[in-house]
This record gives sequence, C-alpha cells and structure tokens, in this order.
Amino acid sequence: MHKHVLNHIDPKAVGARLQEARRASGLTQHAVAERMKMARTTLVAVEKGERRVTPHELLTLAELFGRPVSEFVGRPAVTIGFVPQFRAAWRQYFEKNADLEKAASNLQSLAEDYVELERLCELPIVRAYPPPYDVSKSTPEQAGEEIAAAERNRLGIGDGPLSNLRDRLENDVGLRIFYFSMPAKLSGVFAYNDTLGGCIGINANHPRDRRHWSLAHEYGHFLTNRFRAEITFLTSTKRSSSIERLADAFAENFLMPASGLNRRFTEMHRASPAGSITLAQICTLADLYQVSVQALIIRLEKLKRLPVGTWDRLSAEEFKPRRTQQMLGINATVQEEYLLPKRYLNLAVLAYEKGELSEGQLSRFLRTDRVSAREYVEKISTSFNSPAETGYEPFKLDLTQALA
Amino acid sequence: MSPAQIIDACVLINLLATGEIKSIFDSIGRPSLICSVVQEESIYLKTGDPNNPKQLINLVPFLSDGTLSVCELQGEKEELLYVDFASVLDDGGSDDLGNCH
Repeated sequence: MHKHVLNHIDPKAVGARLQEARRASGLTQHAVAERMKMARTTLVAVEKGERRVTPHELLTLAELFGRPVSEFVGRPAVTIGFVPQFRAAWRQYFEKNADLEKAASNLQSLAEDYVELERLCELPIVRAYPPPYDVSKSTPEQAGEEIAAAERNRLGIGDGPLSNLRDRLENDVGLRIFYFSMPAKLSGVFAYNDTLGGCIGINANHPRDRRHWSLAHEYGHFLTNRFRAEITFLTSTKRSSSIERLADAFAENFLMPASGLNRRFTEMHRASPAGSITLAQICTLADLYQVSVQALIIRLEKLKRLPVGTWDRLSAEEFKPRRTQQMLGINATVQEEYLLPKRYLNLAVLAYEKGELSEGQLSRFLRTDRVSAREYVEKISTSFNSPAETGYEPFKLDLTQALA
Repeated sequence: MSPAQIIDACVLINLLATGEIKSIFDSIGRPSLICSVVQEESIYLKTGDPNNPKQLINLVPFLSDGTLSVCELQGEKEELLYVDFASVLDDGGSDDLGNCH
C-alpha cells in the first residue's frame, strides 16, 4: 500500500461523512471538540474538508460516533448525499430532532451500500422510472386518483389487491426499499438522486398494514415530486400539505382501486345470506388488501358503499380492529421477512463468494453479526449440494451467466 | 519466548465453536492476541438448538486465564496502517493488520 488513503481521498467527502455521523449520534461540534481535546474551529475545518483528518483523529471520531472506520474511507464518495437534501427540506424539524438525522443517514448508508454491491458484482439495477407526473392542473385528491390508475395501467397490475407491492416496486420500477427501525412517530422516508436512484425507508416497527400504506404513500412522492426528500409522520397535528394529501390520495387509490373494490364488495354483498355486510367481512377484506380496517371503511364510505360516518360510529363504540382481526385468525402484526431487499442480500452473498468481500465486510453489509451472516450465505449460497443416485454431488450455479 | 499470533474474528469464532480453544492454544504454545475490534465483533455462536439458536460469546474466562490477550494499536504507524487497510477491508481485519505490523 504505497499511497496513504487519507492523503488522496477527497477531504470534503470524509468531512461530510464525519459531519453526518456526528449529527446522527446527536453530538454537537462543541461536545465532540471537547472530547477530542481540539479547538471547535479545527473540527469545523475537518467537517468542511478544509483540513485533512489524521489517522488518530479518525479512529477516535469513529469510536465516538459508534461507526466503523471503513465507513468513512472504504466507500466510493457520493457527490451529493441524501442527508443534505433532507436537511434543506426539513430544516426546522432536523434542528429539534436527532431521530430524523438518524433515519436520513440510515437511508443514505443503505442506498450507498446497495450501489457498492452492484459495482462489485457488475450488476447495476434496472430503472424503469416513469417521468414525474404533472400535478399542476388538478387538486391533490384528483391527481392522486389519476396517477394511481395510470401507474396500475403502466405496471400491468389490473385492479386487484396488491399483496406483493414491495417486489413490484423493486423489480418492475427499480426502487431501493429498506425496512429499518425508526421512532414510532415516523412512518417512512423517501429520497432520490441520480447516483442512488429512488430510495424508500419504511418503519419496520409498524404493523403490516401501516407499512403497506407507507410504501404506497412514499411511492406517490417518488412519482410526483422525486427531487424533494420526504419524511412522513404517522399523524400530523397540522393540516396536511398538498404534497401529503396527494401522496395519501395516491396510496388510497393505488391500494384500493375503485373498480376492483366495488366489484368485490358487490360479490360479497350478493353472497351474504342476510343480504348485509358484516364487520367480520370488512376485516377479512381489509386483510386481503393489506390495509387497515379504518382505511378500508373510509374508502368504502367515499365510494358510497357504506354510510358516511360508519368509521366514526364504530370508533365511538370503541371497536377494536386488531382484536377483531385476531378473533378471525388474521395476523396483521406480522413482521417484514426481509428488512433489506432480497436482491441486495443476493448481491452481498455473490460479492462474498466472488472474494470481493471479507466475512467482516459481509456482516456489515448485512447489518448483522458474523455467525448470522454465515447462516445467510448457507441459506442462499449459489453453491450447494443436490441429491443424486449415489449420495450428494456439488452443484454450482453461476447467477451472472448470460442466457441470451 | 515464541512470537505472538493474532487471531482474527473468523478464526476466533471457529475455534470457540470447537469448545477446545484453550487446549488448541496450549498445544501451539504461543501467546494469542485479539484486537479490540475483534473482541467487539465476536458476538454469537450457533448452538444448534432451534429454541435458543444463538449463544452470546463470553471471552472473559479466556482473557482471565491468559488463553487470549487483547492488543491495542500502538503509535502513529499502526494507526495509519489501520486506516489504510480500512479503505479496502472491514475494521476487524484492518485492526489485525495494523497490530501485526
């Protein structure tokens, strides 16, 4: 190793990463400078890239922020990260809340790792992004409805329930979708830039139906306003902005298209012996569409299939959807099986098998410990044993081979 | 005294899984060192028990009886090597190689 990395790496890139890591750890420049026994102005210069960080300083800062050193020097520099985009759009919120910085930083770090895995495997993601939809001539609600219909049409998914929305958006659109832990008040985050593409983070702690809604909501942001980084809160105390109303209208229409839902409702009505729709049927229908019972009832009210005020009446009667669903054997609290995209996991194992990643690097990419990383390699290894007449024969599958 | 050997996380986990790490190191007859990053990385072992699939690694007994010792980077040159290796490797490997110097 002839050239020392800190002498040739862009100091601005290292400084920006250090600044993001410091903010995500909730530490002020003053506190860090004090711990480092350096002047605050020196730390400012390091973060701005005006002064190169020394090896000793980098090791100490990484330890202070709880980050690996490789995260600061081992990744190709991304010219414009997500975190500045989030800060620009959400400045007031960021200043009051370190949790937002963490969520934004997590999304960026996962997206950068995804791109790095693609580079190592020489398998870039295929982007099938539509041009941003023009929403200037409609109300947010109209625009949400129109775009939902257009997108269902573009993706060729008819008007039925979308149980595999994540797979669709990852495989057919080329979005990067991650599930990770966020504070309860946050539903999801979305950001886009040309290098990393469209990236969505969903709160992994939320129940299944909420996660499904959040994913459709963030996709709505991507389709209409992709150059603005978005943070979606679970509930807003203020009246929702037109951007949020549009994303919600999109989610509602995309997940529960009027034509398909009306048809199913009519069929259900016809098949009902008493000629009426029961709460149990509504709960089952909500499960089919993977939306909350509340979201479905409100949608059916808007479609004039249930009397207006039905949800309010049930709420006043202290109806408990979760408990009712449990009684019906519906488990809407199921955790997401894969927090990282399946393609990301496969690329990580492929890079490891190609010798591009060490075991330690693999476990860092998989956000897990080494033994769990080994288990994952065993589970989806491209080299495994297949039964043959005389015992077992090794079978090697080359996932990168050209078939056409 | 024989030169020391530095044990990386991958090897350490494998040796711990044999349940015979002490006798293996005794038979080699060299001081065995692990870096602080490796100490933090070696978190779990697989148990084979579906009800309790992972067992937390406890290195304290091996550190107390001298089977293992933790080594820290010493001086600017080792720190420089750590950072250089961290541009191409994980932190555990970089710490190992920095200390090897």
